[in-house]
Amino acid sequence: MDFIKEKAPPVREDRLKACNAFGGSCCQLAEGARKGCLNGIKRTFAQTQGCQLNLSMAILNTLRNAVIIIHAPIGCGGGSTAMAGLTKNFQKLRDAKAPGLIWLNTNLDESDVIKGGESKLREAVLYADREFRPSAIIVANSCVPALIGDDLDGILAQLQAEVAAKIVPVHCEGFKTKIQASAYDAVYHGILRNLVDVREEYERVIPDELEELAENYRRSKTVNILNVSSMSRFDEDELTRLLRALELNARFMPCYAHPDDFETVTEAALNVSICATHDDYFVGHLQAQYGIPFVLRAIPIGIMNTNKWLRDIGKFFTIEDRVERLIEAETRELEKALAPYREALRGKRAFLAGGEIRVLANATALVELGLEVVGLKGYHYDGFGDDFLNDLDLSDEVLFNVATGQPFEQSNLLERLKPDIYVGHTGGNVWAAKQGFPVYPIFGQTVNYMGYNGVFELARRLTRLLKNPVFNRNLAANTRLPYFEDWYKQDPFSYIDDSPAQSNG
Amino acid sequence: MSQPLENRETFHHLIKQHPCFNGDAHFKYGRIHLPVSPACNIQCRFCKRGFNKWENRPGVSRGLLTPTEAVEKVAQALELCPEITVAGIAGPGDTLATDDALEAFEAIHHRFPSLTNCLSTNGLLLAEKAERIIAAGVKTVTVTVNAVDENILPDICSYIHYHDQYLTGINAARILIAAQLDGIRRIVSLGAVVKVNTVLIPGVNDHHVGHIAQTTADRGASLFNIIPLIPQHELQEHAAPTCHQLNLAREAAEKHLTVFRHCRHCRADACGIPGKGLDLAEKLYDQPLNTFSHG
Repeated sequence: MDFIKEKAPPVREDRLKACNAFGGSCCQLAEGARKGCLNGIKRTFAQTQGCQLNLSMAILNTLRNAVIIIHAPIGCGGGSTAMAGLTKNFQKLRDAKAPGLIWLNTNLDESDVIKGGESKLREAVLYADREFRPSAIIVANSCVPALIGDDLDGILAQLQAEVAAKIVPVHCEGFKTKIQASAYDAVYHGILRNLVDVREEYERVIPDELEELAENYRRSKTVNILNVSSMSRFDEDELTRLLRALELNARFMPCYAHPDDFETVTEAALNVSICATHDDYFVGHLQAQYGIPFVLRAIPIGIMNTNKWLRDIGKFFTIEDRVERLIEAETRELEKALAPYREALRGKRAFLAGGEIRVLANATALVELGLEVVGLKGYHYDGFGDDFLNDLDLSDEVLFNVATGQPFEQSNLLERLKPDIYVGHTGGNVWAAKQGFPVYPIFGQTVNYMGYNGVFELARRLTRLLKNPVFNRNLAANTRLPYFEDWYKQDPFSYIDDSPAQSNG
Repeated sequence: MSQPLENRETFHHLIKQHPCFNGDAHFKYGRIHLPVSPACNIQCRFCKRGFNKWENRPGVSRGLLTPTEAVEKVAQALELCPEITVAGIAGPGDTLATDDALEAFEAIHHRFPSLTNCLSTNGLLLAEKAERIIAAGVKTVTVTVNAVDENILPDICSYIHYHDQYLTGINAARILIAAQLDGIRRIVSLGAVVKVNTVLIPGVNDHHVGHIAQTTADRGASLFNIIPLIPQHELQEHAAPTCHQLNLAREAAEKHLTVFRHCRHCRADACGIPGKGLDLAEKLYDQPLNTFSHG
């Protein structure tokens, strides 16, 4: 993979042939993926969906000691206000002195659209540096300057000599892609080009062999774990615990990391991604440019996936025996702890929504706990999901909906499937809750999901939630939903047009 | 920063024997300043570099040494004063504007690996040369930061010469501040201990000292030293700070960084134990050498 010389990364539609519209059974999805028929499917009607800039903000806002400048009309990035409190608290879990979220908007108006927004950007960058003295100034490009052709990279390159912070342009214009996950590539592209920096090595006048050996040993035992938008502090603690048992040292990035941490990202033996949707671009480039190998097959959610994740790492460091002993001890403990919960969870029906890898991994965990998965919704679907789909022990009729947002399809599906619990992200949870289903977040900064601890935590919390669903029933009884009764009687996928894919196939 | 703890550990071990970083060491251990850097890439309004024997202030030296001569000078100085633990280069120009200082350090480090090499700079090229500085055995770095506000700095620094560009005013200030802050961050991340020097100029940056200390502390600096202005050159008509002003500035800085209070405005060819008041330079140089220190 080598896109690093380009100013902006390719979008996922092109790079991974990702699909964002599909409705049908898992079996049909797997078949469509095998034949390569998913890429052309479209919606003839669509609700609004999250744009690339929004998701980019979700990652960039977490960086400690950075100022985010959104080069856009005033509305863009407004969502950041909602994240300010969260970001600050979770930054402080990593560094008590972290200043929290600082973001600026260049406030482009009509006349800037005609005359260009360069001067406002310049002013904003100089102001950010003088006022906050951050380690990095991240400039997110939006639709307007991209359409009028502001030379973002040119201006910023010129400004770099005048500011102490490292300037990071991020090209995350919303109009460029329908696959929101392209944001991960956009952010990583900015980081790779501007923050990852391999130091030039001068030969020491007096070589210190002991120090060199110590340094090499440290590097050979260091693992970068990539935690993009998917890992809470408690998950990090759990994974650190597991890796420490293998005498490996875990470093977490990019979320909640300090911009300077990326300077030493190459001083590690292995990159471990927990989700291919997030990280394949980053680890692919680190391997191509700096020769650091990676593993990205498994996400450590659920017992089977955690085992697989540990085995992948064990195989790389050739410590398979130790890994097996660890897995054996951990699972034995875990089974004992899970026993009291299994009865309450058996046969409960669950619907999951979230990123493709996340829902499939979570589905595995729920199946392991004895729940029945009745439907899945992924934000998009690409080749990375195939393995998970094949590993998942589901009946062939389980429905899979590929949709970024699109709550109207979800409402219809839920009305038909009537699950006992809905597991999804913040934006979708609210609609399910109003329809009367108990909801559990598929990811939360306060929840532990990963590792063996995470499985226990999941069982414990689900049991408590399922004990009494009255709150949501009352909520549904007192809420008016926006859809006509008529819509619930129609096929949920009636606006998905797969004729282009069919004619190609 | 990524490794604050490790830095703190190196810090204590290092400064115990450094007379310009530690109040106790100031009376026990010696240092030699080697005047090897001929040129400077910025012009401070209070700075008049010179070569003579009589003036006792930064910026002045008896003359220049080549890197090879500098190593010989260190050998002689160690015979005269075995308490010397630090070899510093602080002028008369900027240590990074030319390669002389780094070449001298490489040679000194090769011959006297136990000496702590110490470098003073205005920071303009610090980030660019950080790796080479560390490789040459430099463990302590002093950066002179007189302001971190681009509106104040033009009153202190009249021009900079940066990558073949002559820059003045606010543009020069912006680039110098950016380079200094980035340089401090970088050299600290490579394991050096950084002391920040600020020349206290009443009416220009006296209200700004706390801000300088805070900003540089954020970048990883460990110590702060306030040098009262010696009025000369363009600021000849300017008043030097009073004891009270100096104390106020030290108090403002102390909120953010440890302040070193023993600075003696050494020359760029000073040698000996600064706390004992005896300078061996007279014995070291037969011919009156002409220099300036930024240490």
